[in-house]
Amino acid sequence: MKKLFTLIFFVPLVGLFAQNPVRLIEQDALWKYLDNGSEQGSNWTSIEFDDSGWKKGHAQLGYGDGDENTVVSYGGSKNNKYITTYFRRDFDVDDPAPLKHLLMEAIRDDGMAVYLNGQLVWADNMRAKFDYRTYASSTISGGAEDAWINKTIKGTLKKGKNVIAVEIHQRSRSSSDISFNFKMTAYDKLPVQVTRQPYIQMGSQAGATVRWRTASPVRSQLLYGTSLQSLDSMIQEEEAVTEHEMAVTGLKPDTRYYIEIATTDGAYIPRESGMFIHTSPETGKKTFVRAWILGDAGTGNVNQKKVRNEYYDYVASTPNHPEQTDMILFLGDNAYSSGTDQQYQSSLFDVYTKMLKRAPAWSTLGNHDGRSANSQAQSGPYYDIFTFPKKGEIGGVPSGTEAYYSFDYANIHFIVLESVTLFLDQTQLNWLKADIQSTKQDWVVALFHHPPYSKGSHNSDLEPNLVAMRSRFLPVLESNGVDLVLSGHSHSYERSYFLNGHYGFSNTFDKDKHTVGANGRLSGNPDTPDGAYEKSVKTPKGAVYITSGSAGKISNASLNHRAMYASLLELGSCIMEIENDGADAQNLTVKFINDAGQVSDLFTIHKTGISTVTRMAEEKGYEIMPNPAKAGLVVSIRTQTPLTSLTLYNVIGEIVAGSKTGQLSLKGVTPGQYTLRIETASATNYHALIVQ
Amino acid sequence: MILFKFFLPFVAFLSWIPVGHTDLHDGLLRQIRQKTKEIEAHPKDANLYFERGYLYQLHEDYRKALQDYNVADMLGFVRSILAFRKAEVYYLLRDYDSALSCLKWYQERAPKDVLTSLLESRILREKGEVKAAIPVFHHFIQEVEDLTPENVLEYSELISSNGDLTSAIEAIEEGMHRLGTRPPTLLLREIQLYSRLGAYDQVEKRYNELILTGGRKEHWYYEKARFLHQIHRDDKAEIALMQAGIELESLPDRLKNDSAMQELQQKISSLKKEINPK
Repeated sequence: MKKLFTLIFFVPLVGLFAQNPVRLIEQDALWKYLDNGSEQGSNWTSIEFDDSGWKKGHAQLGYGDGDENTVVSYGGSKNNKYITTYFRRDFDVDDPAPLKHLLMEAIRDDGMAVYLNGQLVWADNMRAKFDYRTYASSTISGGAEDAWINKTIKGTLKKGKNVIAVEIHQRSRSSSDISFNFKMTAYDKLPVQVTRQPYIQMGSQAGATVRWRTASPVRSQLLYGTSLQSLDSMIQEEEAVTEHEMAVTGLKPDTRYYIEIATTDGAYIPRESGMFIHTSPETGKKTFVRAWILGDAGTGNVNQKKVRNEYYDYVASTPNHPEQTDMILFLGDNAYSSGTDQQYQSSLFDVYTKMLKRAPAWSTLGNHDGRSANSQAQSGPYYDIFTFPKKGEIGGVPSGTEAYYSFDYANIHFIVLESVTLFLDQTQLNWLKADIQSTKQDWVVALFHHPPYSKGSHNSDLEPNLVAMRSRFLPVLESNGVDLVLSGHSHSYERSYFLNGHYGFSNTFDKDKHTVGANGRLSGNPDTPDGAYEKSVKTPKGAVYITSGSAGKISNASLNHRAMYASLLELGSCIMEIENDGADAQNLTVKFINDAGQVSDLFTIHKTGISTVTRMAEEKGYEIMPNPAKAGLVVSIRTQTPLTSLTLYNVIGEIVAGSKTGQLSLKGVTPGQYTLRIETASATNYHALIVQ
Repeated sequence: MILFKFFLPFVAFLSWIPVGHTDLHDGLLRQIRQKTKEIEAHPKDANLYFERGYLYQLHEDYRKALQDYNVADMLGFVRSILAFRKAEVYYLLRDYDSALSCLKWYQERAPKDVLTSLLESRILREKGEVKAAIPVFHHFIQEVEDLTPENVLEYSELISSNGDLTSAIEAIEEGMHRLGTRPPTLLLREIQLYSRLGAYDQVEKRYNELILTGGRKEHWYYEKARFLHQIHRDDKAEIALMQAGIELESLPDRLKNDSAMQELQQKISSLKKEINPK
């Protein structure tokens, strides 16, 4: 196997096993265009058409966005713009025979029709029948305005002059912008075209799932290994598919495995130092952890990218574990405005490509994601795109659904709830109770889209989802020790005091009553005299609630919720870092980093006595030797009262051994946890016993 | 029934939201306003009416949604999904016959859309035709690609509302098989149904399953003990209760001091006294 891979690695990289790719039209090429809104009929698409009177300009062509190389005219009135604008470019071909496949790629806003030598070969965002007065079918906005879309056709090129003619259609006469850019490459044999770069899912201490998408079905291999130079393991798909989802298992905890994706022809997503699975630390391990938290990010616009860039700068330059991102937590509304697959491509995959191929992404459903997804049927793009644990595979109790689930990372238990359609769902609430009362992890972090406290662009006093999450789910979370609750929805940043027990409206919040700890009513900033929030063995209460919904846009609002220490109308994202602080103590710090790279808010929860277990002092009148036991045990009674019986129960209360003396044989008893009942004439005692 | 179950709690929530605030979904209203502007610019565009109708539907303004859907229809909206949306809105408006009529039209054009079976079953149930609703829901359960515990519970409740508790349990077992996991949420429902049937051994078995498969066990031991005490099996109840205490004792102090665990400690003490008052 290794020999085979050694051979494969000398094969050239992405797509180059395709023979003779020829770039026929470059990106930003010079085009002729007609921007007078006139009717051109059909002749204008032909090779012979005389376009000598048309203007010339380099792509990107258009208006309204400010990123055009050539600004075209929309006419005299901004409320009565031309509907159709025309573009032409010719190119020469010496020998069309090897140019069997044409890959066309375009930026188009809004509708587009492409003709090759007079034949319509590609129409996008247009009705089946259209003319120069026909509007585009839908508005292209956000990240989709800059997204490259593509289509592959069989080459029908002619020797000599060929022409690509394109018409761009407005969505309406008052729409603000149009955009057009185009490139075209010819291939003898088509390369594997990756339309969605790899992204890591289901990160655990033993593996992860790698997903990606290709334009055409391909049977792929995923190669992986701990050294970039030697990817010595491989798994292979059983059949050719376009939606690739490969689970890598059997890995070591806290270890980096580089990956590469190939066919038998060679790698088509080559290995690189920034693409890997880094497995989780062992469950329960106290170690440094960093999570990047993004709420309402999916605008696809420059704001989203600025926020992203500031985190990338932060994680590259921080002296504390640079370049370490253990996970991305998406708080919902990941792709505006309806969470369609195309919107996910332009607003999530095209924006976070670099981080998605190295850090596992987790998410909760947002209301905009929910426009196209159905939690009841687990259908729609959101559920198709993400893979989450339904069976308790990564710690926690099985939920049976990807709508709500939990997972462990190091000594943190993450609980993800669905607040869009299941905020009144008793099943989710029952699951939450079972799950949170099942974990022994040192930290509990919950996330769901609708914030329990907010006076941002959404009001937690008014909206049913927010009210329900606060009044139904918070009591369960708080009574079981939740430390941090993350939400989005409001397009701002709001961060609470150190709270417990506030389930009413904002005006019922009482700092004296609803904050906990000596400084729970202060900032929690350890760098100020306020000091970090404290959680200890004796005072385990207190949680911080964050509404972080400004990773893509901000919306004006009153921002005056009384439970909030900080309320900021700033673009940004949150960073959660957990690190050790001496023996049996850790700090959980959250920083809000804005789009100027400043940390606008910071707090720390300092937790002590994490592992302390105190058993109640009891006046035992007996001694068990040995415990843990193997073949047998002896119970010595210290009092004068004689022992009457010993009974051993298994985990489900069945009797597995017994004796009328102080000696108990464990022959045939399987190793495990048991309960020993010790009965004397005057008392009955129960004791935990481990059989090895 | 389903309406009652799903929407009454919602209405209850609305009732304690301050009066005078009807704008429950700011974002939706903004989008509706935007869509209205687009409609003003293109009053003959059926797509726009369909899109605004869906926004109204999300905003729970079902009558306006229906109006827009009807205009879209009149203007020649060609996608059959319009009929499904209308069926949903009619259902929410409790016009079940119209809902069924739209749904039937849609089903003929999109026979593979399993969500139609779910909606049809709910409509039939609301019409009081529970017997007819059961096989329709079963079709949904069989065909839906990604089943959820909520689906299984709804199906089981439908069957049990027809008085057939055994089949309701079988439906849960079938659902768990299809899910590939046995979530506590479904096991707890089985416990309820077996209790109603008086099948106490099965109830105990389910508690044992929860104990064996869960991470922490103290809560399930307590629930098992409480159940065993209720059916007068105090010898067994005592063991389960002691096991609950031992589990609780072994927890890290920070968990022991959580209010939920302190409450459990009190419950264990109370039950101990009930079982053994001496």
